Amino acid sequence: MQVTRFAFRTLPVVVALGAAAVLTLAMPAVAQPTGGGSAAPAASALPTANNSGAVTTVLVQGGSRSLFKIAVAPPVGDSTIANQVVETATRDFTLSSMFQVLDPKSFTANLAQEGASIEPSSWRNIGAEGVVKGNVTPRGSGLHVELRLYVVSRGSDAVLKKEYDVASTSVRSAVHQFDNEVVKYFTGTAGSFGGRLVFSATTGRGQKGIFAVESDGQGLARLQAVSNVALAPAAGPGGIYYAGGLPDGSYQLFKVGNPAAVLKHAGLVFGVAFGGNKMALVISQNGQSDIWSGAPDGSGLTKVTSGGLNTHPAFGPGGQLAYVSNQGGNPQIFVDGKRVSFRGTYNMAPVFCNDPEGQKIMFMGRDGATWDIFSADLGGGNMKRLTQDQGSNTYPACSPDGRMVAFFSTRGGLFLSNAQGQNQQKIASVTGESLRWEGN
Amino acid sequence: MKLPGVPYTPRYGSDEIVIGLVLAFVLHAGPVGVLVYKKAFPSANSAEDDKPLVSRPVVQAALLKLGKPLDPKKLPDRFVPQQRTAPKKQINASQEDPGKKQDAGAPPPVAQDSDLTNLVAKSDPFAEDAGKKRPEEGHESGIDGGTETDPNKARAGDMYAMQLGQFFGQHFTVPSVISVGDERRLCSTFQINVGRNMTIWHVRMEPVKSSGNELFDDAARTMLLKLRDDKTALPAPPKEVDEQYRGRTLQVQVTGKNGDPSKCK
Repeated sequence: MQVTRFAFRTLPVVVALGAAAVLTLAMPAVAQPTGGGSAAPAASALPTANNSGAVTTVLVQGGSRSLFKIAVAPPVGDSTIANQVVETATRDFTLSSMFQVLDPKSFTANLAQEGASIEPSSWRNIGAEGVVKGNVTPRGSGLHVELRLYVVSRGSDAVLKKEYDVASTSVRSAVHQFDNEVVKYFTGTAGSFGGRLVFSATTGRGQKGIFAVESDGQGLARLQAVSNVALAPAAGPGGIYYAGGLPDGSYQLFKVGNPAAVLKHAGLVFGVAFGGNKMALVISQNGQSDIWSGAPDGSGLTKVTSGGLNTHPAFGPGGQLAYVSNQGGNPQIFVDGKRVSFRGTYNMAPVFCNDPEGQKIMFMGRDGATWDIFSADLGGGNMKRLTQDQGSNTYPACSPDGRMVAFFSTRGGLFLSNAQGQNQQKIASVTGESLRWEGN
Repeated sequence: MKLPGVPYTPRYGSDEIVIGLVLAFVLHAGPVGVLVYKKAFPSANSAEDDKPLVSRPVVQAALLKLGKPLDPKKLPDRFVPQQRTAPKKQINASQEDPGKKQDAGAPPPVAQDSDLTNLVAKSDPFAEDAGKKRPEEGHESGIDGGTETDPNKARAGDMYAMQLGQFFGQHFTVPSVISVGDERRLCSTFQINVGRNMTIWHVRMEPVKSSGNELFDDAARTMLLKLRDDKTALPAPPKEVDEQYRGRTLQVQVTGKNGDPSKCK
C-alpha cells in the first residue's frame, strides 16, 4: 500500500528522470565522433561530406598581382610612323603601372599572315594577355590611324577598335587617345595619357619661366610669359594662367598668350588655382599672404584665410579648397579651413588626387634635410609615404584619372609613379616647382 | 509549513523516503554505469560512431606583431615592394587554349629560357630589389605545415581547407588592370573534378557563378586550367577528410587578396 502510494505520487518525476537518462545515453553518439580523447570540433560552417550529395567548396582568398602582359605589334604602314606608334603606346602602357609591355623580339606570331586579326595561341605562347595591332594609311594630307585591342583569352576578334584621322605630326595624339580607351576598356574609366604638365623653373639668376611637358615626358616647351619672372602656372578657363612679376615690383595674374594682366588686385598675386567653377588666388599684403576665392573671372573675391602665411591653393573635385598655412605654427595642410596634416613639421604643395580607390590628398613633407611625397585621405588619415631615401622629392601633381603622380626629384628630373609611389620612372630631365597636371 | 495549532503530519513516511533514495541512486548509477562500460569495452559499432566529422570550421586568425608604439607626429615610412623570397615552382609554358583543349600550337619554349619564365621571375609588380640576390625564405605554398604549433588550436580550424585555399592562391594571379578595391569585391566560382591522385582532371569552363568581370573570371579559370594541364597534384588531404576531396567534385570560390567571402554567395 505504502509502495503503491509512493509510486503514484512520484510517477511524473520518475518519467522525467527516465527521459533525461535516455537523452544522456543517446547524445554522445551524435556529438562526440572523434576518438582518442581529442576535443570535438565546433559546429561546422563548411559543407558536409560529398557522400551526402553536397559539393565541397574551397575558398581561395589571395593571389599575387601581375601586370597585364600586352604586346604592341607595329601597325601596317610606313615604318617610321609604325615605330612612333609602338614607342608611344609602349611608353604609355609602361607608365600606367597596369601593363607590362612585351619585348617585340619575343613575338613568334606571323604578323603578315595574321593581318588585322590574331592567332591567339601564337600570343599565348609568349605570355601575352593582350595585343595591340593596327594600320596607318595616308588619307588626304593627313593620316588615317586604325588601332585595335585584342584580349587573347577572348579569341581572335578585336574587343576594341578605334579610328583617327590626324595630321601626320599628330600620330602620338591618336595613340594617346587609343591608350586611354584601352584603360577604359579594362577599368571603366579612361586613362590620362596625352595630358600636359605645367610648372615653373629657374631660368637664370632671379629669373623664372613657365614650362609645359606632355605627361609621357615628351614635348618639353617653355611657355611665353610677360616677364622673366613667371610663377605658379595653373590650367584655367581657356589656357594656362600664372603670376607674372612686373618691373615695378608688382605681381599680377596673367594668361599665356595675353600680355595684359587678366586680373588686377591690391597686393601681390603669387599663385592661382582653378576648379569647381571657382578660382583661388594667393595675395600678399602687408607682409601676410592670404587665400582669396571667387569666380573664375575674378569677380566676388573674398578672403578665406586670416593671418599668417597661406599659400599653394588647390581645388578638389567637389570644390574643396586645400592650401598651406602656418597658422598652427608650422606650415601644414588645410582643407576648407580644417587642418588635415598632423605628422611632420613642414608639409606643403597639396593637390587632390581622384584615386579610383578613394579620393586622396597628396603633398610634400620635409623629413630632415630632404622632402618626400605623401598621400592621405581627405580628412588627413591613412597617411602614406610615396618616396623615401630616394633623394629629395617635391611638388606632386596627380593625373586627372588619379592613377599617376608626377613629381620632381633630385635624382635628376621629372618622375612619374602610380598613386602608391611604385613604378617610379623618370620621364624628363628637368626640375622645377609648382607642378600642376592639366585637367586636375 | 508548520502552522500554530495545526497538528504536523509529514508528507512522506520514512519507508517512502528510503524507497525514493534507492530509486534515485538506481536512476543515476544506471546511465553512469552504461557510459563506463562503453568506454571500457568499445564495440565495433561504437568505432563506427567515432568516425570524425568530415568538415570543420575555418578559423580566421590575425597575427599581431608587437613593437614600439608609433610616434603619431613622426612621418610614416614608405612601403617598399620587394620580390618574393619563397622558392618558386618550375613553371612550364602551356600552349593549350583554355577554350579548346585540343588547340595545337607551337611547342612550348624551353622553360629555362622562355619569356614566360622570365616574366614569372619578375612577376612581383614594381619590386625594387629585382636582380639582387636574396636568400630564399619560407615555403613555396606559403605554409609549411601551418604556423600553428598548438595542436588544440590547430584542431580548431580546418587546416587542410586553408592549405588548399592557399595552394590555389599561390597559383592565382590577378591582372593589375583590375584595381585592388575591385579585386576584393569580385568572386568567381568554378567547378572542378579531382582524381584519386589529387590532380584536377576536369574544369568546367563556364563559372558556376561569374564575378561579373570577364578578366577576373579568365584569371581564375586560367589558374585552374594551368593546374589541370600541368597535372599539378593538389596537396594530399589528411586521412580525416580524405574522402571529402579525393576523387570528388569541388567548387572553388576565387576572390582577391583580402577578398570579401560574402561576395561568393
